[in-house]
Amino acid sequence: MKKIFYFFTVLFLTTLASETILAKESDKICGGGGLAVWTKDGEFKTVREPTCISKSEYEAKLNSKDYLCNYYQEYIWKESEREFGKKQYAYTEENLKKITILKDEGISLCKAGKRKEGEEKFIEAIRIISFTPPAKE
Amino acid sequence: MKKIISLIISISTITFYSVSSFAAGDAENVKKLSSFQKTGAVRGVVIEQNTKFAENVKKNILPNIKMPAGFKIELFALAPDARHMAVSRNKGTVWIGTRKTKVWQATDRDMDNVADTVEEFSPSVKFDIPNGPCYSADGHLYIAERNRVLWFPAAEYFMESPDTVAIPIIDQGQLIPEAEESYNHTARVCAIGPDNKLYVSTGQPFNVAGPDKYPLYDQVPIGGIMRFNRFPGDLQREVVAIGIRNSVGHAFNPKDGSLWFTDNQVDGMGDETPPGELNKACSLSAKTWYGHPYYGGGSVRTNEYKDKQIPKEYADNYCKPQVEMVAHAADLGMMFYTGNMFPKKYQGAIFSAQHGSWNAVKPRGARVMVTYLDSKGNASKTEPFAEGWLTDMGTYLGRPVDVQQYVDGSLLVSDDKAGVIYRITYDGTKAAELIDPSKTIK
Repeated sequence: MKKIFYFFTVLFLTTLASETILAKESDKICGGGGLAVWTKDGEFKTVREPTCISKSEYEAKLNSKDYLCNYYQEYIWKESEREFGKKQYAYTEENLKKITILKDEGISLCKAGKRKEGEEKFIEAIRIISFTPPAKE
Repeated sequence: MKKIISLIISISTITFYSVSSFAAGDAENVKKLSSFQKTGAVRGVVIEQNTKFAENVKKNILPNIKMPAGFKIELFALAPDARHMAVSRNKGTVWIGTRKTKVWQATDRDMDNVADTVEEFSPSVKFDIPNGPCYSADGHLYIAERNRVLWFPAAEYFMESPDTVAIPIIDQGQLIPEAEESYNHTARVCAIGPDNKLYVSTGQPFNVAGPDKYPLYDQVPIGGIMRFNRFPGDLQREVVAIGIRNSVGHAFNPKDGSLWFTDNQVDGMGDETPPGELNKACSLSAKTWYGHPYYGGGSVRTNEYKDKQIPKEYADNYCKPQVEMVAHAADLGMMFYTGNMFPKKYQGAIFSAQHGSWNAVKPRGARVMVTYLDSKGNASKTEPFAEGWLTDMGTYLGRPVDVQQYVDGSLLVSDDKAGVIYRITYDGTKAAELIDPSKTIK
C-alpha cells in the first residue's frame, strides 16, 4: 500500500515540476543574440543561445518610467555609434558631434530624474539620425 | 488584316523604342533583346531541387508551421533569396524576384504541383534589386527594380531560351531621380490595375525624411504609389498615393477594384509602437495622403514631426489605415484570394505576409495573416493564418515575404531566409476528419 502511495506521490511531484518548467519555458521572450544554423548532418541547430527574459520582465520593462530613456539611448547607439549602424548613414562629423552631445545631455537629465527633458534631448538626436540620408553604396 | 496592322504597330513601337532611349548599364544588351537580336547569352544558373537542403527544409521547417485544420504546407521550390512572385496563367510558371541581381523562374513540368525546374530568368539582363515581378492577364511579365521597370512580352514563351524580349517601360534611373537612389527601402512591387495600368510603389529611403524632401517626394512620388501605361509610348505617369513610408505589397480587390497596400512603419519609437498598416486607397489621386511623415503608423505621431501642424493639404486628404498590425512585424506582400480550393470564409479575403522584426526585443511576425472583409469591402477582422517560422527561442526558421495564388487555388508563400517557396493547400475531407474522426474515409 505504501509503495503505491510513494509511486503516486513521486508521479505527482514529477508532473508538477515538469509542468512548471514547461510553463516557464513558454513564458520566455527570446530575442537578440541567438543563432541557429544548418549543420553538415542536416540539423538545424542552435549554436548560440539567445538572450531571454520572462514575459513579466518584458512587461515591467515596457511599463518602467525609464523605458523611453533607455530605449532611445540604445537606438541612438545602434544607429550612430555602433560601427554597422553608423556605416548605414551619410553622417557629417558635425552631425555626429551634435548627436553625441544631445545623447550625453539626455543621459544626465534622465539620471537626474528629469525624464521628459531627457527624452526630448534623445528625440532631438534621433531627429538628426532620421533626417540623415542613407550612405551611398 | 487587323492582326497584321497590330503586329506592324507593335514591331515599329519596339524598334523605335529600342533605338531611342536606353539607359546606362546593360543598355546595349537590353537594346538587342528588344530588337529580337541574340545576345550570346547561355543558360543561366540552375537551382538543383532534389537536394539534402530540400529534405532538410521538409524535415526542419515544414512540421513547425501551424495552420487551421485541413491546411497542409509543402515545399514548392528552392529559390535563393525568394521575394515577390508572379504566377503565369497558362504554364503556371512562377517568377520570383530577389533583392540581389537575379530573377528565378520555377515551373512544374510534370504536373505534381512541385517545381521541377528553377532557373535564372533572362540571364543576360543585369538586374538591380529585381524584387517585384507582376504578370498581366494577357501574358506580359513586368519586373520592377530599384530604379527601372522592364517589360517582358510573351515571357511564358521566351523563358525557355536564355534570350528573352526585354523592353524598358521606365528606363534605368527614371523611376526615381538617381540622386535619391539608396540601398534602403528599395524593394519595389508592381500590380496591374483594373484600368489596365501598371502600379509601382516606391519606398522613401529614410526612417523619417526631413521636411525639405517632401516637395520632391510627393511629386515623383517617393514614399508613394505611381501608375503608368504598361506599353511604351506616352506613359501618362501619375501619382496615385503619397505619405507612405515603405510599401512592399499591394493588390487590387477584384470585387470592387479598390487598391490595398501594406506599409512598414517608423523605427526608433519603442518596441511596441507604432503599428504596421494595411491600407485601402480612399481614392487614386496625387493628393491622397496616408500619414507619413506626420504619423508614424496608425494614429501615432512621429517624434520627428510631433510638434508640427499637419499641413492642410495633407490633413484634408488623409486616408486612415484599415488595419493596424502589430508594430515592427514588417507587413510585406499581399493578395486577394479568388480561388475555390480554400473554404468559403477565405474567398475574397486578403492574405498578407509578415517578414518579421529586425530590432524588437520581443521578436514578432514571420507568419501569414488573413484579413476578412465585410459586405462593404472594408476590413472586418485580421488573424494569423500560418505561423511557426519564428521559434520560441527567437530564431527564424524562415521569413515570409510574399503570398500569391497558384493556378489551382493553392497559396504560394515565398521565404527569403530559407530561400524557398512553400505551397499551402486545403483538403476538406482532412479537415472534417480532424474535427470529427467518425468522418474518416476508409
